[in-house]
Amino acid sequence: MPVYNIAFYVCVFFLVGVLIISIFSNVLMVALAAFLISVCLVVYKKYIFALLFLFVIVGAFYSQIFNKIQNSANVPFGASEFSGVIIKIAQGDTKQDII
Amino acid sequence: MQKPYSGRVKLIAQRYPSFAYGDLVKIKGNIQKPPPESENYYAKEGVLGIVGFPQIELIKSRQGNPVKEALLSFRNKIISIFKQVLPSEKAAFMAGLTIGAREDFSKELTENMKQSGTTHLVALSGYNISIIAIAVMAILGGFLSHQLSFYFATAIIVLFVLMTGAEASVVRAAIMGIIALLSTHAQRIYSLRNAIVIAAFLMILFNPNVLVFDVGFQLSFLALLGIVYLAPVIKNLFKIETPGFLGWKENLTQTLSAQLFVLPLLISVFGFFSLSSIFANILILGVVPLAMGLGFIMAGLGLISIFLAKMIGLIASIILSYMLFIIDLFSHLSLPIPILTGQVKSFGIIFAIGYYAILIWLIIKYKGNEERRI
Repeated sequence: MPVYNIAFYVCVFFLVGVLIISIFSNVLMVALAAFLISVCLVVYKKYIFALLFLFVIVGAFYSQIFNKIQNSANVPFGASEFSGVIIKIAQGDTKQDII
Repeated sequence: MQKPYSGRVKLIAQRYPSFAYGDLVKIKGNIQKPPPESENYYAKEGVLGIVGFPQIELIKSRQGNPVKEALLSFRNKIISIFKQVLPSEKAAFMAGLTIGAREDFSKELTENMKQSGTTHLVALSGYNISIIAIAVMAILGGFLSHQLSFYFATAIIVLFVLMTGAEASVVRAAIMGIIALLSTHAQRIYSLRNAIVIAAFLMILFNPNVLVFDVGFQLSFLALLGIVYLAPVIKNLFKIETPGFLGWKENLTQTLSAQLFVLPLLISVFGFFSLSSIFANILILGVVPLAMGLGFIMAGLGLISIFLAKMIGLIASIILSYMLFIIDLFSHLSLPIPILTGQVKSFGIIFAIGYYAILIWLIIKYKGNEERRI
């Protein structure tokens, strides 16, 4: 398989991993299922696709870690006082949405 | 937020006093978790909390990224040029077409575009990126080496994306545009299939939540897939071999294929799909590149002389009048699909899978026929 096709399939399987974890959210189950499929493909001597299926696991873990890091921020919920820099603003007729 | 806290929060504030990008502000308010029904939307934005109408005190301005501040200032300059050259509604529409600025849209225009199915015109996409890439390569290609022109074009596309707020459709188009430039530069074949997947991969690497929670991302890729893979099928089935007068046949196939690909998503998210959008788009799409091109020229000339920009503005005004007339007309001639406007507000997942399976089957079948024919 040419390198550009391998790169294409790596991206596709990674995207599938992110998609599945976004829907099912249990990363261990997704990883286990992808690993078992990969093992089955090895048995049938489809080595490249077996390897590619591991990128489903990479995608799932990447998505999970990304969200963990994002949610680990220290936000003072409840009544509080804080400061910050505005990075995005949308001004409507009656209000402003500020991030 | 600044130390000791971290993370992003959304403030819903009164309209005045106005704040701007880069303002350092002190907030007094109650940070709430996003409501469960919109949790995913906020996750996509990286927003962890919401504060409703807090006390906001400006501490210092210009604390953001200086490059982004300069780009936003340039964006505002372009909008002000349009306002000086064109009547208010046309200026707002032109700003939407060229740089995706929708803040000056009237409620009526926004609603008319929604009803006529033409909102996608102001979602920046391949059209805008193509015009920029072609213009930069043509202007710089005359006196710079091909390599330097390529670097400049790439840099300008990146700056354009940052200036316009990096919406999913323009980021997707920019990545694909840069890959197209790169392929020409490296004298390699441009594979649309690979470019689409790499664009999606890079965007998801940056933020995995966009895949499932960003409707703009989904609409942009689905419409593109429709145009790339389904449009040839439609052309083949209906024996469309020429673009037709002002490209109406081309516009018809592109609109139809894009609409067919995004249909389940439109129904699920917006609960609305109008058949008249196809006719509106056929009549409008032919003049969009011209309107955009004139808009970019007008903005460029306006930086030198408003008088020169007004000369171009006269022609642009006629085209914009036509476009706004079509949008207005088809917003009143909306032909909603009956079954999709009543109780049925969403496609079931099984129905959606079946729907896309049929489309994919059609595409595969057509491809086979074409190969056999060749």
